[in-house]
Amino acid sequence: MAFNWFNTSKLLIPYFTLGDPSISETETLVRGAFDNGAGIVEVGIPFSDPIADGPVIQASHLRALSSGESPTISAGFGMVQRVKQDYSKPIVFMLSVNLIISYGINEFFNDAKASGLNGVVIPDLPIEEAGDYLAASRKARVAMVFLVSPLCSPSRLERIVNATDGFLYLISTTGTTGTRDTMPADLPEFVAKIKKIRNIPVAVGFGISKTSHVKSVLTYADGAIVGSHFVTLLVAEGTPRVIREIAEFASV
Amino acid sequence: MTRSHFGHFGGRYVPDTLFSALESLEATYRTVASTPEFKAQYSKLLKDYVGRPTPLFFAERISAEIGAKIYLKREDLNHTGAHKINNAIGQALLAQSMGKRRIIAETGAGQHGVATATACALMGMECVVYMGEEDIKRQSLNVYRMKLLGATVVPVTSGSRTLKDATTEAIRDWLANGTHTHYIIGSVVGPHPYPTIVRDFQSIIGRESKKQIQVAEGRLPDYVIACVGGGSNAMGIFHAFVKTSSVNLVAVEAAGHGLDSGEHSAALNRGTPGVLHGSRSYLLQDSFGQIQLAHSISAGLDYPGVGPELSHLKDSGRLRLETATDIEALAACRWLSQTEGIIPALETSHAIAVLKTMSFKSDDIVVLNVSGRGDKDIGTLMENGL
Ligand SMILES: Cc1ncc(COP(=O)(O)O)c(C=O)c1O
Repeated sequence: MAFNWFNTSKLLIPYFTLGDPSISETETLVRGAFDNGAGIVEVGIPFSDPIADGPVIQASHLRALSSGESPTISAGFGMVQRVKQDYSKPIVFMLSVNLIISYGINEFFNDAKASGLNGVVIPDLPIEEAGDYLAASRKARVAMVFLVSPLCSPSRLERIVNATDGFLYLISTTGTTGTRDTMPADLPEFVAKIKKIRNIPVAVGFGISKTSHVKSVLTYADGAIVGSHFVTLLVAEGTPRVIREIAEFASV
Repeated sequence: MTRSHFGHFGGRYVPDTLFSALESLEATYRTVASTPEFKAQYSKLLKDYVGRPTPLFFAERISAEIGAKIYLKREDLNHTGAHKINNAIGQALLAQSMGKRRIIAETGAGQHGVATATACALMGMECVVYMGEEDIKRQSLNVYRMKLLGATVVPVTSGSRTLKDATTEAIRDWLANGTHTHYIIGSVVGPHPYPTIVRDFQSIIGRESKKQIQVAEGRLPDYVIACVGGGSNAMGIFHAFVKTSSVNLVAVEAAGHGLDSGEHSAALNRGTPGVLHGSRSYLLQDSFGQIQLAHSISAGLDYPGVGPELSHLKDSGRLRLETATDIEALAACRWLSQTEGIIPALETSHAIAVLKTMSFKSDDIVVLNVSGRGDKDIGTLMENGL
């Protein structure tokens, strides 16, 4: 399926956790991000036990879950619906598979479509288990964005690259989400390997925290995903500071 | 090939980063663990180091009181005091053959942590054990043992600060360090191939029991009883009997403050299917799919999930599900101590407790897995006035 979110441009993709510090503040962040140059926004639906996330995002999930609000999938759809009345840029959810199982796979993709959600990243759903999800997502025309790491074997890589919709999410370092000082050196080569299988946009995530990282990632990839860094900044200095940082990262 | 699913349960729900480590573990397990050399090395350690076979003891006084023939499979007599060592030694050998020198583990009661620290000391490997802060408090003796054995114990402060959170942290460590680290998971949970590997290493319990009961009674038992946390001592003793339908497999979960209190660890009894820690199984979760906090007086049962194979056996109608509350487990601990001179672990005490709540015929033969000894629980027992 063609989504054409990138066309020929390079995109900054910020991540926020729904409900950290509140659902309305997350909405403000999403709108602010779009106004300041973000190409796609990724919204995490908090889960009690996120195995794929590092300490910063896990703490963000736990804050959201104990905020007194209910930052559920439905609340996320509600926010998407409001934002999509004013913006056409893509919003994707990132969430643990158990939340979708609990919601119901078909119900999830139908309601996603109705809300205007454009795609979904499910970090703990491997291609081997994804059959029902792919079928439902294609019917609803909601992109299933898959994740790969440079450790992926050639045969799995081919399968994943051919299955992913929208873009491919490349985890830049082994390990969980989180900020790092230096970026791994083997990524450009790996991106080239992906593009040889299929000419699909590749966005690099997990570890980007500086303008110099964004600049270097965007020389060989199509998108730069920034999560932990913005979440940390949000806690320390608040929404306006995060929006300024997005504007700076987006202008490289 | 090993099976990746048990009916609708199991699988490998992990980020791509872990796939290569799981694939290499599966390949090593398939090619190495079945060789005569590996089997000989493993059996020799179980015999000379762990002290196997463990006895099957006819418990005369409780048999008379219950009115059935009660046999106790004495896993508490293993080196380090619980069944966990069967798996820890096996997986440490696998790590050696994969050339991985750093070992990580999660622990609840501390028995799996101690067993892993022991195996690492024996084989000269680095050992890091993740343990919830709450469990560090209630199982302080085992924390001290792990440190004495040379392991690093990392306190986990997120979530309920118990086994669930320790497991999450261990998986995180493995995500970051999988290329040179082996994760020795302590129960029949986690992504494929762990539930199969752990079950296979623990299945020695059932194989021995089957032979021993044949010698003692000339026939197979009517009931095999085990407590269930993740399910490793249960699958270990059940496995040899699963295909014999005349043997009732009794899985005992922790009812904590009562099944209707909302504070228990009875995932098979009260859970719904979902994904936690890399596989699909019965789970305690709310209506949005958030994992609920489990509760049990025993740290080793205080887990909101259960292994995929037990989940499947439940759905196939092969299990008889029972529970025991905190209070019943405490009473059973005292009962076994004073009638047979065996102080069981609080986990095991849950299995002991159902001897009093189930009804048996006088010629019924019951084999109960005494998964561990109670020394580690002395603090909790004292606090509860035992
Ligand atoms: C003595 C003992 N029995 C039982 C358990 C529960 O684990 P499993 O269900 O995997 O046997 C533990 C776990 O720590 C334990 O230490």
